[in-house]
Amino acid sequence: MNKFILYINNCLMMVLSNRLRLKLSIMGVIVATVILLAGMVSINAFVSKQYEKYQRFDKDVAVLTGSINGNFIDSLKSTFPEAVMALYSDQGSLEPYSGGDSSPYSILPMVHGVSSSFLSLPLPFDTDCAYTATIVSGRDISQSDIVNKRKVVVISEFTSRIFFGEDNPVGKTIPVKLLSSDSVEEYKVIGVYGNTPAEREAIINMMTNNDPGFNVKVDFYVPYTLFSSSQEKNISTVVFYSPQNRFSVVEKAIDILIKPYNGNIVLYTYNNRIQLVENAQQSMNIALAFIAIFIIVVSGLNMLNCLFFSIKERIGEIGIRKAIGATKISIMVQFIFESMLITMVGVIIGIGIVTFLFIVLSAFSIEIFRAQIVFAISKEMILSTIIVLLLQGVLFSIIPARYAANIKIVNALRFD
Amino acid sequence: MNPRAGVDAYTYLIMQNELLIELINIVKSYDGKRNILNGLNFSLQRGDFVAILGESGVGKSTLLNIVGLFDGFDSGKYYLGGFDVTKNHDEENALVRNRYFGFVFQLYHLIPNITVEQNITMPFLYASAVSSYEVMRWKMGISKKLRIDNLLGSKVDMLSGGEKQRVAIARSLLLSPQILIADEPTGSLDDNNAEIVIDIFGEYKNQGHSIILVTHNKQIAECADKVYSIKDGVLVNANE
Repeated sequence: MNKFILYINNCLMMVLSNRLRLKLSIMGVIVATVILLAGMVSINAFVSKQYEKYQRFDKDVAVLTGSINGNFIDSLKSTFPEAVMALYSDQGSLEPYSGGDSSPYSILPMVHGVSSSFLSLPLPFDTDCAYTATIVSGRDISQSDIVNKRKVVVISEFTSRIFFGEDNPVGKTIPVKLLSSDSVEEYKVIGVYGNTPAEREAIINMMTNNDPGFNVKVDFYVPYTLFSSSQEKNISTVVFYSPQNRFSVVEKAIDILIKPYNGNIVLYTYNNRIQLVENAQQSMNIALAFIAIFIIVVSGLNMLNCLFFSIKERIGEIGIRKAIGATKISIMVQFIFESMLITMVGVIIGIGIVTFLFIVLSAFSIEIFRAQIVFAISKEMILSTIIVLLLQGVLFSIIPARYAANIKIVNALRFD
Repeated sequence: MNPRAGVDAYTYLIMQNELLIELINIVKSYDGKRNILNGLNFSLQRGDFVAILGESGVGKSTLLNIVGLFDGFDSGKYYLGGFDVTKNHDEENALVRNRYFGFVFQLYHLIPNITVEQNITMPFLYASAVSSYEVMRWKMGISKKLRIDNLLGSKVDMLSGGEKQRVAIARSLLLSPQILIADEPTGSLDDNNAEIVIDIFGEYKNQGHSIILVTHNKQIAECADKVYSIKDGVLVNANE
């Protein structure tokens, strides 16, 4: 029999022989693993969701909101003569098209690139900047559509089904009524994007129940430059597009321009939204690090305590081992190795619990969080958890292991 | 000093030297007032079977603790295979205990919760330059000889006193040590088991190994070549 296998087997037997120590130590490790891993997974899920949300925020667009006056707009125009700007007043620029009182649907046009809010104003801080699902048919709204103010629209699968049934809607038109006009204009459908599972569920419910009173918001995205206010009064939002490849310079310049307004004008860009997410991630990581340190220390002290009690019970055994040739180092290594074994078992159980928990949470995320959230456990997370907790197991075993190694044989054998 | 180098030196010296152990003028006290060993001298030749007789508290176990490198002493010299071990490091002593001494105790000192086989092979865990194959071969040979080969998978807690002592002897003989140190090995055994143990010792001695046996049983002691007793902290011939 290989000596290493014999050694592992021996350590395993010794670990299993002290069930109370095993249970208490493992419980501590499990709690630490669950908190550490769950923290990492939750932060990752939150950050991924935020990134996903802002991924469709147009990278060449700046949105300014607040008390915007004509002077500020003039200064924007003179500083950036090449920029395309869309101004929105408090009254709103879009209006739902309704097929009449008997229609079960209200159509709420949303401004592509900055908002999917059913408010007529483009609000980048809204839950979604734009549709986050992928285009399943046709194409997305292009920069050319935005700059040239083309009357094109991207709709969801659900919206497509309402207007066109099973037919392919790409190339067909949808009527939209503007607030400033009595007439209804036709908008050409250029693309369809996939609905989320929650939306799909709503569609199925609606189709099966055929509920005529069921009022559902339909998704209808148009280029944001289409619905600009005709007058520069009561402007609350400016959507600013710089088509040249120097947006970071423009962004800094706008930041300087809004400084005199003391926070009354707020700038939203892809970069500062992503920065916000990164800052939030950093803050959460710092908080998690503090929690992790606390948990690791508590779990480590628990392990240290259990190991000390175990050593007190095993003084005779330590004496026997030393009598038959165990060196101080081999005694230390044995106890540290035992702690590592316990830690490994605890970590594996903890990983199992977290995995199960997040599989359940992912499956029911729509019901629980009202959003599709994927809680993914990466190899790096598992590896870092294992390394951190193994390190904890080793560090907090050193003192008891040294104590065991320094026990005198004569005293230990007398104890036995 | 590299502990391994120390063991290599012992290996060489013990192979060369007929005088395995030499204790000169050993003084040992526990409280600093009364000397339990008071200028004790002792020597062990290759192939010697030495018994040390004496009542409780005279210093028999203290002497074995010193000889077995379990404990230090206040003054004197200890030569092992002609090598002064007085200033040995703990690590060197551990390696020497592993390769050159086998220990049998009155209370067996087996590790509970693990199997007989694991107890027997325990010295192998701490031995260097010993092949697994050799150890397994020795283990099977010793187990058969001690009639415990059918108990290898059993937990130690389930064994009788005699079986436990035979397991302890198997463990002590696993690495075929030069010197076997036995502290009251028959103290907890009935006559039949005691006889088995003494027979094993005799056989081991006949293979050219040395044995130091501590006992208070004169009949057992008579099996040895030399019988000593401790009086006033020194070793005297028990027959005088």
